[in-house]
Amino acid sequence: MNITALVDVVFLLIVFFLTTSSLAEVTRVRLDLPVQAGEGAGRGGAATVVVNIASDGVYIVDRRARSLEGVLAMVRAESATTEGPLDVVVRADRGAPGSALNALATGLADAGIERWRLATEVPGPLGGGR
Amino acid sequence: MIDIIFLLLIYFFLSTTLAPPESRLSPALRAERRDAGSSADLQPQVVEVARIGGSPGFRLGGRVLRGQEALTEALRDLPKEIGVFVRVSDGVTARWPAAALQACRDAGFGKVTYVPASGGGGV
Repeated sequence: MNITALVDVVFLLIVFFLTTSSLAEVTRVRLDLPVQAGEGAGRGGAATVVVNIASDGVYIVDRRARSLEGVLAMVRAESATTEGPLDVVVRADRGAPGSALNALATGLADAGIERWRLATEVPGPLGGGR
Repeated sequence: MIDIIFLLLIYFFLSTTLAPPESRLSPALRAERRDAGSSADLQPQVVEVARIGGSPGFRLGGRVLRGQEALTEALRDLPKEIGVFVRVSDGVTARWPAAALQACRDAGFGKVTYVPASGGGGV
């Protein structure tokens, strides 16, 4: 029995699932994150809110631009409905103004968020380094 | 065989261009208040991230440090138990507090706290 076709199909399926797992990351907003080694991707809390800060200081959540008040309202709403600690990940463009980051940090602290995570781009041949 | 090799090549090309690896820095978060702080609090070690002399830099104690490596070296000599506060002014871009946080981690600090400076600006 010639199993060449079966092997091809299996490899196609493997490549498909590997590619889609990478493509899932494509939903991330494209930003030039600060290039730092970080502490590893780590594990989030019971729920995760990802807040992107573009280079012009615009806050982007779920691929939509939002005001600071809108972002904080989302965080409070998510925190109220989450049993465990809310995981807040901030992906700030390396050129984003510090005022935007600080305003968000102040708002998060006022909302009771005691710990957050800042996203970085891992330096190296497959990562950043620009 | 050739088909499989080409497919794997295509996969690695796509994965490297579409998903640059990300990592995370996980500082604690604390808002700075003008009336904040109790006298019982231990005075934390503070790294200030601000525009110093017109360009972004770090201030640790009375020392001005211009690079992440210099900051890391300076932090290595400090006691780690009481942690460190990274106080960030508005006048710098996001890469600078990230560099300061990374320097604190590289120097061995387990307790790192991000404090947005009220009033912003720099020197």
